[in-house]
Amino acid sequence: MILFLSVWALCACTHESGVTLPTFSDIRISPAQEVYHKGDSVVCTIDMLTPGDASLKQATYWFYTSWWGSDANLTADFQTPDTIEGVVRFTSSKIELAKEGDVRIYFWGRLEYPNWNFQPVQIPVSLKVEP
Amino acid sequence: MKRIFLTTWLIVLSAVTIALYAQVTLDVHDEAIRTVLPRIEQQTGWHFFYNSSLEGLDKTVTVKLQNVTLEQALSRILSGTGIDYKLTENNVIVLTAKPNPNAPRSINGVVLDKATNEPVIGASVAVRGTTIGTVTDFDGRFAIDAATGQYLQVSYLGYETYELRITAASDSYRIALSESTAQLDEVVVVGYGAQKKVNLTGAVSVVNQKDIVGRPTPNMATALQGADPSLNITMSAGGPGADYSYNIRGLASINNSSTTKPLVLVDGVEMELARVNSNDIESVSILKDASASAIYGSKAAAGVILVTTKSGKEGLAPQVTIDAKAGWKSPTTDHDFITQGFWSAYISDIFMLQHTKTAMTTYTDADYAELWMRLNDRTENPERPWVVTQNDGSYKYYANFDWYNHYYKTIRPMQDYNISLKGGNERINYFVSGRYYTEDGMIRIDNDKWHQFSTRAKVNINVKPWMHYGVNFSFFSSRYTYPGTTSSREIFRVGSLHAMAYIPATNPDGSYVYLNPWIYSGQGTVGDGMSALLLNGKHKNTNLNREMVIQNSLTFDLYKNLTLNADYSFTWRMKEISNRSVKVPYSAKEGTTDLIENFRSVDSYHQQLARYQTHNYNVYLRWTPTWDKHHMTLTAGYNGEMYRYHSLSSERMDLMTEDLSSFNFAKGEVTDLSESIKTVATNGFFARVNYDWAGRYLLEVSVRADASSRFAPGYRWAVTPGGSVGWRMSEEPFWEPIHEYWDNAKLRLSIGQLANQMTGYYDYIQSVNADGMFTQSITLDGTTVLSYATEADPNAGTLTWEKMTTYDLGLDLGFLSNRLSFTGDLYIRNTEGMLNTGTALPSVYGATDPKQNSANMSTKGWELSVTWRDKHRLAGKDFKYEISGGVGNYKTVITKYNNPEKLLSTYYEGQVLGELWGYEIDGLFRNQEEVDDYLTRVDPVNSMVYTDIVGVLDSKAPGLHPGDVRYVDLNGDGVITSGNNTVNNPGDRKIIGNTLPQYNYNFHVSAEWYGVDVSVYFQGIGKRDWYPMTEATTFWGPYSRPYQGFMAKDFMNLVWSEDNPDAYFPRYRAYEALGSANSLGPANSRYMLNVGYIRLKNLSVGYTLPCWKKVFPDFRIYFSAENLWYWSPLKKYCRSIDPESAIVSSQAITYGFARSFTFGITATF
Repeated sequence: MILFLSVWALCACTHESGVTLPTFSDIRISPAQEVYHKGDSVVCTIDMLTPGDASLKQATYWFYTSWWGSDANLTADFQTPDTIEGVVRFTSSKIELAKEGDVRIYFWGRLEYPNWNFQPVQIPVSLKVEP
Repeated sequence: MKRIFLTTWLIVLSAVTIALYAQVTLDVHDEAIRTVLPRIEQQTGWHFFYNSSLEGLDKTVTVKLQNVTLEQALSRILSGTGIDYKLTENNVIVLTAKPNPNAPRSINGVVLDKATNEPVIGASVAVRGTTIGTVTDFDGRFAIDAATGQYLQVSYLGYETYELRITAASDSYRIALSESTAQLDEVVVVGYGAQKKVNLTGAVSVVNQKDIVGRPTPNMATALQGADPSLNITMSAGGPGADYSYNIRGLASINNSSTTKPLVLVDGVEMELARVNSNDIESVSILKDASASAIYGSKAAAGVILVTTKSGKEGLAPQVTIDAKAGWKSPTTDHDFITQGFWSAYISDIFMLQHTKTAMTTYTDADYAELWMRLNDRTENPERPWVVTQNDGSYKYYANFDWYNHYYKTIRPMQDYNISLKGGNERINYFVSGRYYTEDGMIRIDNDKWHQFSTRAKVNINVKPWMHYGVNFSFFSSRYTYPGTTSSREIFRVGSLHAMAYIPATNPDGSYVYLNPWIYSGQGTVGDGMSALLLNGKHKNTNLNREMVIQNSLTFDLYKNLTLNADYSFTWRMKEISNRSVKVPYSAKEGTTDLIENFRSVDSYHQQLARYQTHNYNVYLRWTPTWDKHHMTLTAGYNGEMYRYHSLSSERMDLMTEDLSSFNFAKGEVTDLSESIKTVATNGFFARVNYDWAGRYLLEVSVRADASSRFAPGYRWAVTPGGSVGWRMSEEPFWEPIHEYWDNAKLRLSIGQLANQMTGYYDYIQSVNADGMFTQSITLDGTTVLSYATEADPNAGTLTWEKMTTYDLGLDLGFLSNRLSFTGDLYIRNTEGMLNTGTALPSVYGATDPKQNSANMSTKGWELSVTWRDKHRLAGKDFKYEISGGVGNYKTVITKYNNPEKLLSTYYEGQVLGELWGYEIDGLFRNQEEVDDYLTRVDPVNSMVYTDIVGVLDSKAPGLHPGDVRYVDLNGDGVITSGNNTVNNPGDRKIIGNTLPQYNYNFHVSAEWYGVDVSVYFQGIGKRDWYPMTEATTFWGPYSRPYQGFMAKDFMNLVWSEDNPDAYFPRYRAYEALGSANSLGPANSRYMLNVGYIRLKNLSVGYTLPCWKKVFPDFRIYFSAENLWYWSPLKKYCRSIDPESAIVSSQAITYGFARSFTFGITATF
């Protein structure tokens, strides 16, 4: 049992993908408010803290919200990063808060490493939207 | 106390004294005893006490007695009446029935193993000639009612049957059974008789009954697979009622391989293995060479499988056996396919974009983002629905749909119930059995189901001491209901096409998905409509099979060792296929419904009825004279057969209802109304002589003359002789010194000829085809319908039998009291006169050259089998075990064929049957330098194998690139072509493999100890080459069709990329395996696979419960698994194709092969 647990613990420490993924800050919402109202617009930013494995072949990033999924007219907000004073930063387009309640805004990424090793990035932030 | 005793004693004494001295005087004449008794009472003062119904009281007596004592009077009067008397106290005479010395009484005893003195548990003990019987308990003890003079028969498997006479002297017996020397005395069923195995001179294999009975297989064909190295059984699919093909020692002819197959005789009547209940089997003999088969003549050209079913037997008390098992089936292969919509779309698009500039899907980057965000959603997340309705009402799909589990079940139940009754006495014996088997098919929606029922009743009556009558009746019925179009296989073929994981089966409103604009430029038809069809549930198909066989036989013992046998059997078989095909609704836009109408004969009902009848007659004499050391068996007789096939087929359009299957509800055009009738008659005369001298020198000679209606008068008869000799060296005096450890050595040599009549029914007659009268009517002026008939090409009237001559050299050895046995055979089979296009006629002839008996081929092969069986004492109990194995191989070469140019498109002289011609690929281009270097030597533009790579001009990347396959320019002409497709100029091709099975083998281990039995049975093929052809979509995935839905999750790990230059598959590119002009289309050395395999065919573990012996002498619980595990080199590259599926078809698209797990009980009482 001890041997099994040891092996399991060692395996659990290794990332499934076999590559080191980039790390990101939390999503910052602008303007920053405790509570938003339906119809408000916000802009999101997120910083890449570490770039991850150098073998990365291609990366695609976008912002998305929890209510776009069922709306055929709203699609992913693709973004390429800006490097500002050495900080790699992603800034969303203006997002109109069209849904009430607890909603989420996501920062998504698809990272393409060799041998068809594609890895996801998913960073959410929750907002409270009132009528 | 003493006083009481004394008083009692005095009373008894005085009573006896009175009786002794009472005087009786009687004079009666023909008076009933009942009326005489009161007179005695009056004279003596004694009173009679008796049961008024006592037998004998009404018997009349005539006596004259003068002053005799009471005892004298009673003895005289009651003499011969069976009435006994007893004088008791109080002057009472008690009358009772006298005990009968011949009346049955309770006999008890114990049955022991003579060698070990251990009790024999479950031995059968029966009173000979009666139905009284019992079995021994856990201590070997028994109790049975039997009378003096009767015989007890004690029998048990593996022991000699023992008989003893009941004597008056004893009621208790100790019986010691000797182990059977069955190895030497084993009797093998051969043509029209049986022979001791040691005296066989032909090549005959016997399949062990215990290797077949009780297996969780639907029929005997699957149970026999791999049972002998000579027997090649290939299942066409893994589904219920799947067809199969089989041969003995390879194909006997290149013609009609489906009909030129071994003759299967069940109790002497031709039957299909699939319709035989394996639980009814007593023995199976495989007659492999011509000398053994020759006596069966025309139908035995490809060998004979003789199946003998169980019978009752004399002295066997009625014995009921119940076997019930239930379990489940699951696929033998892995089905872990891609279910993530992103990968499904992504792979099809990148493959398609390397083929043309247009992707397979019409998805944008935003759509791909939608798919990516749903990547790990196993079920729909409310934030991310799988179907999004567009502004125009159409649907866009972002699903992670598991199409495999949508279509198919991975666990499906099965049940199998068997019951049999057997017994017999000296006048009659009987065996009756019944079976019900059912299993669910693997189609999940509108589930397919198989029901099978069979029964057998076999009675033998000794009408007179010299006349024996037998009747053997069997009935089989199966019903398979399945959805889909006319074949359930169609679901497996097209169900996965366009069934991409990003598309679900239904829309949010429940309508069915079929055609949608997001795939293949709007032309992608999901599952080719199969999913919508199944969900709709209105297509219904039924296959019914019924077969009845009744055989009556008479045997007359004419004289000492001379018998006359006559039997007549009638086989009736009915096959009914019905198909209902309807229009299937689907929706591509919210609120709209369209209909799928491109299924076969949509909106119609079709039915086919076929009836088969066979009358078979046998009359033969058998004489077995013996003198001194000479033993002879003479067999001679006649066999006749008449066969008639009649089928009707009809189809009518425009169904009034989609819920009923009947022509009454189809009111449209009749699109099919056809009939077929075929008849064949054969007559045969046969004779055989078996002779042995002292069991040392063996000889068998047989001859058969057959006539068949398939040939023209004058060409109908064929005479096929056969002969074999054997020498049992171990019976020679010089063998005596080594006989102790080398018991048996026999050398066999046989030669024989067989004839094959399996040509067409009327090939010698030029036919007139009337099909055009109905289906191909033409009009001359646009209105007048002209029906017509066509005359077929002329035939050669001289067609006659194909003939096979077989030579066999065999060796049988037995060592160490036959615990170790070995059998080996070398054989040659020459087939001559195979039908083939004969001499080429001048073109002015104006028709296809007629067929003639003009082709020959030769098969050479060998077989070995070794068995070790023994037992040891282990922890006070016998530990019995057996290890056996066999292997065989053969090679067939065409020795004559009318193909002087040696075209590779047909057979040619010198061809090894099954050989596979293909190109050689020595690897993938690793970089551009290698490509450039290749281009200096080879012109891909004019190379057939690169047509698609260089020819699709709008391809994103035309021309050769790193990752493409590198064909070897074998003939150095600068192009890769197939030459002129002849042996002398095959272009850059060579023989790269062989598609016939090689090294057919089996391996079996079984052991038994303390009531626990274990059996492990492996079966396999050493080598069989397979090239996955065009539609092998499960293997090629998107290399074949980029919209193939079933793709292994790790498929891309095998695909070349700059990161993975050593990959198995080349540069990703759609359609490369589709068509012989593409780089993966033609057979080549790199992608040819060995689909040989080893399979754990059966694993059984059972336990015979000792505690219920008194109720159930044999009560066994068991677990049995079929096809539990397999390994094949194919698994390295594809785990979703069973090697047997690849063997069946180059496309490997079949109903999935299944493994089964069952738990069951067998009880005998």
